[in-house]
Amino acid sequence: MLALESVSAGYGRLAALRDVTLEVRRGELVCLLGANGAGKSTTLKTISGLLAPRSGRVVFDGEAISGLAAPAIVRRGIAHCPEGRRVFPYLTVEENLRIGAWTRRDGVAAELDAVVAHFPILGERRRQAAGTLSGGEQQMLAIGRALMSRPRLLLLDEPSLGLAPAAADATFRIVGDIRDRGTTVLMVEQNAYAALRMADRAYVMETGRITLAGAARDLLRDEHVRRAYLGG
Amino acid sequence: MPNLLARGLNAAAWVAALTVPFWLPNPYHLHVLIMAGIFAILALSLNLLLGYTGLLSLGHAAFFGIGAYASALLALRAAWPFAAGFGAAVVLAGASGWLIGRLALRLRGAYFVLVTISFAGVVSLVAVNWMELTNGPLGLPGVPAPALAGLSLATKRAAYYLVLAVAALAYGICRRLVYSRIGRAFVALRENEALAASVGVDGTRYLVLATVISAAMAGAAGSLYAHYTRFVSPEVFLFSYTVTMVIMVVAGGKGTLAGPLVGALLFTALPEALREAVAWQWQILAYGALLILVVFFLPRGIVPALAAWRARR
Repeated sequence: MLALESVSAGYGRLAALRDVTLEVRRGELVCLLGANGAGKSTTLKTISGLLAPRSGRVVFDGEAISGLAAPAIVRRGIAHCPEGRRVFPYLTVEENLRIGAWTRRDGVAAELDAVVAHFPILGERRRQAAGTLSGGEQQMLAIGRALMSRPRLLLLDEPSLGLAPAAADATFRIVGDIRDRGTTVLMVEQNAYAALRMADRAYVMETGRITLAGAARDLLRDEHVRRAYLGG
Repeated sequence: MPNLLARGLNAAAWVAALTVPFWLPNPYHLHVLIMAGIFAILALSLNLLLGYTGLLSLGHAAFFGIGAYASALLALRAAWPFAAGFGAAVVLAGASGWLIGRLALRLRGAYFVLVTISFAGVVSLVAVNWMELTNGPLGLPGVPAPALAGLSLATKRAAYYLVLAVAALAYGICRRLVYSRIGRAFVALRENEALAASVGVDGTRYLVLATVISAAMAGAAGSLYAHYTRFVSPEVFLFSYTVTMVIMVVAGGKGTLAGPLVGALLFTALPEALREAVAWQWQILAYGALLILVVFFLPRGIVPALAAWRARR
């Protein structure tokens, strides 16, 4: 469904990705692991068009999408949930969701109902400013907003970052649920143990390169991964 | 109950605005209200940028001045009727907004501020030095009073209703815009442009659109000003006009619909009230002190402070 072929990218003179090749198949949940600054978020940005690759190709559904602008890529069915501040704090919950469907004109109301049915708390807080939600609720809103574009591929950047353990667990359950309903997911996650337990496959990145790839359950047992990312 | 209060206040404000020329005894006070109306249009226009998209234009007087000169020159040199000149002022100011937007929004933030300041500087220099077209620093006297469909609007009362109608229209446009899909995009871009881009909002496109609408509105105010005061000079480009607009928007409450109206009314009336109440040496000082008090005690502006106060009760 998605393939990166020898993609290099960077900021100014700084190279953040070197020759990255990876693949995500339809229906999979794939994880990107690695230390801070390894290039995980940059990989997602390069896929979603927020950053143009210097060389190499990003292929989605058999077509090259590298070099397309972000709106065109959203329209093709890729939604990106970036890290950091996840919602628009001064827009209401409903406005946040509606803007998720920015690139679509029809069926927005139906999608809104579907997302609210999926996350009842967002329905209760519909008219509230998003900035007043708790961290876990904001993460739900961010994922709900991404779903509003009816993506076929969801890119999630650190969905559990900064959340209390219970909220992080809830978020992981939601991500698993989304995959089970047929949306393909590529997720960057710090919590390697939780990520590997739910993922089908994973890639490990170090200093802008993919250094290891494999089935998630194999990586859970891998000596290097255990030492570097799972605390022994 | 508070909703009823708000609706009552709203209705009272409309009744007052519609009847004021008939019960205000002093024609000078009506003049102050007309100027407040023109500034309200300017403040609404600046608020669209500063309040909703977060872009600070410190050259907003340029769009005002372009509207004033376009409308005045077309009336004086080409004998265009007021409505046509007004339309041309809106289009020309909007077009210059598009140009500035395209130029400045390749980058953001401070760069946008700098480009708008320099643009106002350049336009002002043209107005001073292109003697053949603009009559230079002497300005253009004898701009005809506005007239619509053969009906002269030369009286203060007529001018007041004309300005009120345009201000109400500008307010209506802002309101429609802010609650639309486009308005949500403006706020999203203000709050987090990277996040807005990730949902597919084309930032540059919508910021340019905001600049065009805002500039066109300022051009409309310029045209009204030219035909009301019957005189245009390079002074319309003065930086102090822009500063006044910023004060009105920030003190009234940026990012709210009513804020610019409250700010425009207050900060047009205030210098006049001070002129009557305080000796001239103290006028500027008192104005400054009041401004500092507003900013200090109501940092988000008057309208948000009132809304918060009402929510607490």
